[in-house]
Amino acid sequence: MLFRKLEDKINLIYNKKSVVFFAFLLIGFFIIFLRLLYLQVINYDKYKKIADNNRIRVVRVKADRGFIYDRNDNIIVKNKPSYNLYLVREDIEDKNNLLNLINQKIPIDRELIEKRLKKAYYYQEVLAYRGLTFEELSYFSENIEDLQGVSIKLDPVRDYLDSTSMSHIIGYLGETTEQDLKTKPNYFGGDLIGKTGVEYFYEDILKGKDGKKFIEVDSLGQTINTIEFQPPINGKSLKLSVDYRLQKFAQKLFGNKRGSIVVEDVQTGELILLFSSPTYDLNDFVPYITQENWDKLIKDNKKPLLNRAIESHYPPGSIFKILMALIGLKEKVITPNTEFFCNGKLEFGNYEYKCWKTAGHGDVDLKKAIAESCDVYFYNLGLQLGIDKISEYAKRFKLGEYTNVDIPNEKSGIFPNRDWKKNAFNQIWFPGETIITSIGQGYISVTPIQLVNMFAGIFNGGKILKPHIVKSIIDDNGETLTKTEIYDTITIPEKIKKSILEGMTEAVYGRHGTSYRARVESISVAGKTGTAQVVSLKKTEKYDDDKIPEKYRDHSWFAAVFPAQQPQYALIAMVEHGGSGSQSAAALAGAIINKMVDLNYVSD
Amino acid sequence: MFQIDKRQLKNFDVILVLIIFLINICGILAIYSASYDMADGTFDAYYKKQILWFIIGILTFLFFSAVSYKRWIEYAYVLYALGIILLILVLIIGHVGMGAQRWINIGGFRLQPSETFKIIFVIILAYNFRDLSENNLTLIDIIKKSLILFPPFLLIFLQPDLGTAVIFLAVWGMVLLYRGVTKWTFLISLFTFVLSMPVLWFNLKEYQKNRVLTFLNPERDPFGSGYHVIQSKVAIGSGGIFGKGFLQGTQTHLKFLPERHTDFIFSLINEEFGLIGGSIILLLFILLIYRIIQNATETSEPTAKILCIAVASVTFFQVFVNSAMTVSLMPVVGIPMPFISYGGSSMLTFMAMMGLVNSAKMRKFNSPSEY
Repeated sequence: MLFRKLEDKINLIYNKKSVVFFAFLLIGFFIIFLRLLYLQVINYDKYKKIADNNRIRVVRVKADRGFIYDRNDNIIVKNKPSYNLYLVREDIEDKNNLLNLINQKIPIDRELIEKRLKKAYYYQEVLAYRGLTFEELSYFSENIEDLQGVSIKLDPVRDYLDSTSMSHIIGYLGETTEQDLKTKPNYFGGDLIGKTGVEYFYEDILKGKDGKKFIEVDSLGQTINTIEFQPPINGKSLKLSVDYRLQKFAQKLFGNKRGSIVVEDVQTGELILLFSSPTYDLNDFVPYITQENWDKLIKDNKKPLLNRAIESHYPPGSIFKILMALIGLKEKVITPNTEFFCNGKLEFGNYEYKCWKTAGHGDVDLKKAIAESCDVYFYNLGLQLGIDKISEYAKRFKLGEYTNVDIPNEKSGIFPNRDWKKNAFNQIWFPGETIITSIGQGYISVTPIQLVNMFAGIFNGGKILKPHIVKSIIDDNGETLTKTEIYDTITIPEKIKKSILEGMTEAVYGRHGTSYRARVESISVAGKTGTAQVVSLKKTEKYDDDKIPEKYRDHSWFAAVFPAQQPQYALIAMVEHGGSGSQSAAALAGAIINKMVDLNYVSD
Repeated sequence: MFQIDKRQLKNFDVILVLIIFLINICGILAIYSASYDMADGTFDAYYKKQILWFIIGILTFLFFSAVSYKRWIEYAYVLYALGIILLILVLIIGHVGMGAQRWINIGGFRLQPSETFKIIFVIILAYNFRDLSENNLTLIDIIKKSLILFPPFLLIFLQPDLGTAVIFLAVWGMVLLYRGVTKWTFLISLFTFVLSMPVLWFNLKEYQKNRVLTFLNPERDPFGSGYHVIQSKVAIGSGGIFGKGFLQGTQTHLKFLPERHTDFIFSLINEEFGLIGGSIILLLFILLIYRIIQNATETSEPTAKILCIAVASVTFFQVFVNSAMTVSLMPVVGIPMPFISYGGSSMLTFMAMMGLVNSAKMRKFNSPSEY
């Protein structure tokens, strides 16, 4: 009885509610019905017309690519107009015929165009040819009515202040590959994309975001009305930390020589100069590179596309002795006054390790060891330290490791240790290998940028920095500076720094110094030469650089920090097959430092 | 479990089944048309697969009709817990497709837990709102009732699938109103809700607004939802009163209209069959929902009532959101139209829910005391 009552009540209340509920839902359906009525009856003519002509098209509005400036706000890269030929699949009547007609005037890649046409979304403008000359432009414009499906549009390309001196930093643009299209949803076939350099590394920043336009067109495909416009967001600009004037100067200095030179601000990791020789012409890639030019570039045995500052690795030779000195002092294996006796060789096991100076250096302390680059001193130091200590420090200073500089294709090179040898040769480490490692020979292979960054780390008090070439990113809201990133900090007491600097200063200014070619008049420079052997010639064998073929000559290294009182900049110069370090590389470095004095980077 | 009572067979809802049949036939015809490629005159296999899903759907319907809905309600919390576990799993090991994580791959089969959860949701709602007494709910009561809503809402929101998450919220809201809230609670809640929306929106930065818009529609094609909507409007508008005829829709067949066999199938129907076709679809859904609500009124058993109301709400909101999106009254979200859009998950979900309704109808003679 009780349930009966409750049941009646519930049925009474909730049946009423059900009616309200259903009424509410009916309103929802009625709204949709009204909307259908509006679209299909009231606006029928409008939509019918649009559908008959398929008149709504969506057109991409490309964002402008950001500019690139040098540290002094010189515009290094900007954009200039280029006229391109586009095809719209839906407007083409006879594809083969049309392509034949176009081909009579310009060389087109039919296979590529057909592939792009197939992939295009409806009414997409598909790039058929980039960079029409004025004459071609006129021809197509005049005959556009006979070429249904063809449209000509302006699409900017890069315009360089100097197309050679900064090529390795800037990098070139190229058309998107299949792989690019797979991984980057906002790109279409024929779009330009950064392939190397900062153009590649900062692609996302430079590119911006494309906008789009919904347009209504007439039967000839001409726009009669813009229905909706979403403006593009232009790319941001980059401000490089490098100085264009120094780049230009370095290019002149190198001439035909091969090699690279890098200058880094020891406190911030900014790269002031990064030049690799030989270089290539960025204008070869504008508006696109011809097969002929490309073949020429990649078949050139001087390898102009190679950025030798970050992609080539070599044994550092005696430059490495600076790090050895630091490890020795830091680990308290030596003091600046510790002496080793050099009689021109070190006997170890049943093998003789020779000093470059056959007559020997006599009693050698640290200062003399660095200044005169005594091998025997460092053999002894190396044996006392052992390979584990040496490789541990080298790793922390990022030798044989990626510095992660903001340019692509960096190589790591090698710094050997026990594990590496086990993996590479399945052999144990021999003490003799420690000896040759101590003077930067053997398995070690490092890039110039690793070395310059190592010097920056030693002389900024032990901060291992991430070097970078972009100083800031610029957009409408101003500049965002690249932060200085520190990988690691090794405490280096002022005393240790002073002792090493003394040796390096003596190397440049001392009577027996190996680096006298880097002397600069107005400021004091601390330096160290290095020679990387290309072929293993016996150290004692006297030979004259000029008499052996160039390709067998040693690579010439030079490292400098300046001003010597309180180093602000670290520099590494490397000349491939330049002979001993004291020759070509030191002279180059001297000239660059002089130029930097002229440009007010440093003063006494 | 399967003991069949004569009274049950007598109450088997033939009319409900008939309406479902009609809607599905319309759906299969539309998908058949959508499978047709006007350019080269070939057909995709979508319609064949849809027929297969329909057959499996009928079996699902029969299964859910045969099992007493009370069994499910008895185990409502167990089902709920399992569903939540699946929703968490999908976030962890889910298959990422079109920018969102919605599926779990089980031996080549793709399970979409947010679809399955719809069935669980109507069951838990029936259990949770079964206290149909005279007292209307106060704010505190509402908060208590919302506890079952938030876990699935948040988990689906995170996939991200805002469209489906909002459906859950809306269905919960409908059942809440059906159950009854005090006048003041209703007014205050409504007022706060309406007021907070524009304040919230205008306080967003431009990029945040863009993000919300992208969030609403994660599966934008390179040229975005604007393109879909414009093409959809052209397709519908150009259909006129009578439509262009079966297989004659130029907008849809020339591939102007993306997703024409799934989320935008309503546009195709309107292009080819015009206002008449579109209205027939709407009418069929009205009949379906009417029938479900009728079943709710016929039974005296509280859980059955709520169960039917919840199913009617889910059906209504999916039809409404999907069609509103194609006619450009709402932003584009990936919500299929029940029984019409191509897809197995949605078919089975709705067949199961209709089965629950039929199960309630078959057992309507049970009195409340028998729960």
